[in-house]
Formats: sequence, C-alpha cells, structure tokens
Amino acid sequence: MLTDAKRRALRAAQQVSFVAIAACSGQIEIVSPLRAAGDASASNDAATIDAPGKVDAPVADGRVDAPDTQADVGPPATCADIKAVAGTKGAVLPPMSDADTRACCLDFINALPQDGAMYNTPCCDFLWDDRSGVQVPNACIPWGPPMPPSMV
Amino acid sequence: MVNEFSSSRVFDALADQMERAEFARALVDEVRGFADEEREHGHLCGAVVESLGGEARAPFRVEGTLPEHSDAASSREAVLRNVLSVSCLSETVAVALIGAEREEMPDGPLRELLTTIWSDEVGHARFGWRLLSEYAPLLTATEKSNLSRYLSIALGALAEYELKSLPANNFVPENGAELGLCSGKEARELFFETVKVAILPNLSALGLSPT
Repeated sequence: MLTDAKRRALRAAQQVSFVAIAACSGQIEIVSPLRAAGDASASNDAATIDAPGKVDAPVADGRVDAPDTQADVGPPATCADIKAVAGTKGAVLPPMSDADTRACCLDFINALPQDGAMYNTPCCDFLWDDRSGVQVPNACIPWGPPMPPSMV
Repeated sequence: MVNEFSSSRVFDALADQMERAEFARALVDEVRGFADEEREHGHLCGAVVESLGGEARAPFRVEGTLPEHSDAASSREAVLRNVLSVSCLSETVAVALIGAEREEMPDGPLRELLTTIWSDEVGHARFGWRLLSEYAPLLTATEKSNLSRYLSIALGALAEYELKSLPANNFVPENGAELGLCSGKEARELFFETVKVAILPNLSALGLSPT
C-alpha cells in the first residue's frame, strides 16, 4: 500500500506521460492509465491508484522481480571463500554466520577501488538485505538515467 | 552526485546520436541541455554533502557507452530505443521516486533544491514521451515491432538497475526524511507501481507493448 506522499508522486509520473501524449497525439486513442491497468471504474483520482490491474509485462509476471539475494544456510565457509565470489555478479555467497559474512563483505567492499565496481556484487546484495540486520541509510536512489541496454 | 555526472554522459551521447540521425537542431540542443542539468544536479548534490560536513570528492564512474543499435531498421528507431529507455522509463521512474522524497521532506532549502532537480527530471521524462508520441504514428510495422521487443529488454535492465540501487529493507534513520532518505522497500513498491500504472499503459496507447 502506497503512502499518500507516494500516491501523489505516482500521479505526477502518470501526468508526465499521460499529458504529453494527450497534447501531441490527436490520432491516437488516449487511454487512461488507470483504466488500462484493468479497473474499468477507475479515474485519475489518487484514491483509486491502488486498484489491482492486469498487466502483461515482465514486471507484472515476476520475470524481473527482485533477485533472491539471501545466501543459503549450510556448512561454514571462510572469509576467503566469501571474497573469492564476492565481486562476481550473480554468484551466491558461501554460507557463514550473518555477522561473519557482514564483516567479510565490509572488508571486501572497503578494499575495492571506489569506481562503482561494488555495485551488482553479492556482498552488496547481502549488506542491503534487511535479513542481514545491517542498517544502511537509503540515500542511494538512482536519480539520473543509466546507459540504455543493447538488444544484441 | 556520482550518478548525476554519469548520467550527463548518457544525455551527451544521446544528443550526439540524434545529431547524426539528423533530428531537428532544437531537439538535439534540448537533450544537450539535459546533460548540463545533470551536471548541475551533481554540483548541487555535492554542495549538500559539503554543507553537511562531508567531502564531495569521488572518482568519475564510467558505465559503458550509449548503444548505437546497428540492428535497428532505421536511425530514428535506434534513437527512439534510447529515448524510450532513458526518458520514458528511467526518468519517468525518477519523477516518481524523487517526487516521493520531495513530498516527505519538510519545507526548507533542501526541499527547494530537490524541487529544482525534480522539475528538471520532469522535463527529461516529458521530452521522451513527447518525442515518442510524435513519431509513433510515423513508425513502420517493423520499427514498432522492434521497439516493442526492445521495451522488454529495457524494462528488464531498468528493474535490475533500480533493484540493485534500492535496498530491500525498510530502514529509515531518525529524521531521515528531512534529508531525503527513504525506505528502500517502499521505493521499490513505488517503482513497480510507476511501471504498471504510468509507463506501460501509456506506451500501450502508442502501440508499444513488451513482447
């Protein structure tokens, strides 16, 4: 459930796209975002934004849902085991206790060159996962656009 | 701050691509202006860091190059793929996320600064929607099909990027909202809602759906 502030922010995002289309596309059928999301009775009233919708898209069917970043529970591993895979995108961290894994990951990340390479590493996933108990201030919203992907 | 400077390269490269594709000079200049705005956002973010006692110094982050999309059916399709990714997806999400931070921030200089950044992001997003809506009726069936296929890839990349950057936890430091800090978990929720109710329906209205 979105807070009121986030509902207003969402409405701003809707207006950014919706108003532009309405202003520029006389030949194009204008579809209310909320109606298109599946609620025939919906309007642009913020109170209806939470109406459930049917959207055939990767995001909606879970194909691009949040990755499972929690390390498996299993036999103990060493810090060297952690560091061996900690910078490899998509790798799963060997199991250690949360505190030990956290210490190893912090050590690993602090040793990285500060060039952004720490992004996408399993250690960052672990440190940012609420199950690890690490209190990381969330001042990391990406505001500017990244490079677009390629199709090939 | 680091992210803003990196994003300025995205817009500079997009302006170059549009120029090569012979888009109107005014459009190219507008995108070039977006790069300037991103750099200015970086300066503003750095100023906040300094005013809070930190040191606004960081290495420049290089994140690849803008794809030329040589597999596209036309140069305009190649440009529109990048515009779709940058403006209609990334920047529209930014409008929602920054807007939420701004909504939760008390009145004061920091909120004024965030309002400036937010209004620029609105402009970056609207540019893409405007351009796409102008070109949509002109696209061939092949171009439209290619763009729909690209949309799937771009959505996946966007989700990966956002989820890597937004912590999954719900931790907000005491008085964090005053500094623009937010719950990563709630921001993720807002991200998905923005894609579902703002982005996808309006792309569908333009004849583009992820395939």
